[in-house]
Amino acid sequence: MRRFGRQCRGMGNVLVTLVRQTERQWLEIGAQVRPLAQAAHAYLHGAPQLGEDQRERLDSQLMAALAVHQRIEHQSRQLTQGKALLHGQIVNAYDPTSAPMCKGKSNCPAPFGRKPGIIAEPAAGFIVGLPLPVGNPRDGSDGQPLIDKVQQTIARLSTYPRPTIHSLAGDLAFHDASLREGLHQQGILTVGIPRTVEPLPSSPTPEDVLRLLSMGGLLRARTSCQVHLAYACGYSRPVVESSIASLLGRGAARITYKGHRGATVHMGMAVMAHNATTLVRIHEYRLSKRARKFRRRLRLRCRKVSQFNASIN
Amino acid sequence: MFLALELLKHALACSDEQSCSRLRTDLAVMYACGISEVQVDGSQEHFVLPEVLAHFRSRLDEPLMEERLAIQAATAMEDGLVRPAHLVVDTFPTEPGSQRVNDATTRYKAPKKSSSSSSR
Repeated sequence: MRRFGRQCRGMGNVLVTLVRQTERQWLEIGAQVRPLAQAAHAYLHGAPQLGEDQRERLDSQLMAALAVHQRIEHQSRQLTQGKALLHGQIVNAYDPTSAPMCKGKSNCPAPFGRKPGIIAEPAAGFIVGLPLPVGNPRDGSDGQPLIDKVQQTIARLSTYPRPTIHSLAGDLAFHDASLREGLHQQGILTVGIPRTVEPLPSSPTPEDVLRLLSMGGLLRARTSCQVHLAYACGYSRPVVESSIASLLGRGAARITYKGHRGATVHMGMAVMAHNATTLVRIHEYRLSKRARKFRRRLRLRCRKVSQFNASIN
Repeated sequence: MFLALELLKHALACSDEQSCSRLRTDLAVMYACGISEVQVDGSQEHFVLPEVLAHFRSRLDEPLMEERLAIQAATAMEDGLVRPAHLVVDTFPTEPGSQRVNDATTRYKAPKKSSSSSSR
């Protein structure tokens, strides 16, 4: 929600009467749409020069446009002051799948649009999964589907041993008892999902490690070293922001393709372009100090010795 | 080649027209699209028409995009470049707009707050 800033907050000088009058005028003009659409429909079926496929396509487009018009008209007559728009209502005439956000800043207009998620590894920022739900459900509901997607990706690997997910980190919106329980059952630590607004400590005490492992029932599944790494990888705003900024720079800030399918294609392409750049950075070892440290600890592939020598020479 | 062009469009943050134009003039874009040898025809404006690229895009769907992303991630994992041991999850809003109704609500709420603060 950080992108909606302060410019929209506070007293807004909205001329409600003017809005209502304009709305009435538009509704009067729009009343002509239905008979016109019916006439167009009759003409379409009587036109001999059109092929069957073309007629069906035009007919479906006309019906879709008419359905949207009816929904908007119905919604406009129902608007009452002080009531938030519900999920099923249209907020964009050209894209009925766009929806209001569940939460927003207090005392400012509720934003609408889409809220895609990312699940990324924090070392280099490679995005492993991308959910784009229909509507805007609460953030916590994205957690388990995302983990399932990553598990499906891991299941594709032909090499053994297959990597396992040790921990998941997120912000306070992902603090959900059922999500935590589900993750613990899969042997995943939830160290990085905070319970309060207090910042996570950079490293846990031995007592903390024992408490965390016993609380999740993961005493045998996870080691103390993995807990320390999970703490280090714990939710870090700059790490997440860098991936999001990269996506926004690749056109994800404003989705131009139509509908939910279009948004999925747009976001998918932006994520794949971001991942391609990340892989190039890994190949060329253009990584931050933190990323290099993580990669060493995770025993991930670094530059070859010859490359080190070349850089020294 | 269409998929590469679509990816390059997002990587280079350009329009369909620009990406199709660069396919004709930019050697790096040609290389990325797998074109190694070119016979130049001055009368031809585009190798790939922007309309054809848009038509190709209309055939992409959600399962295909998920499949492509999963293949990319699995390949990176197999090559040992990435390990999903520790993951970070977050959401971010796109296409921001605001509701007209709540704008009106904002206006009606504001005087109440100011009156309550002045009474103290």
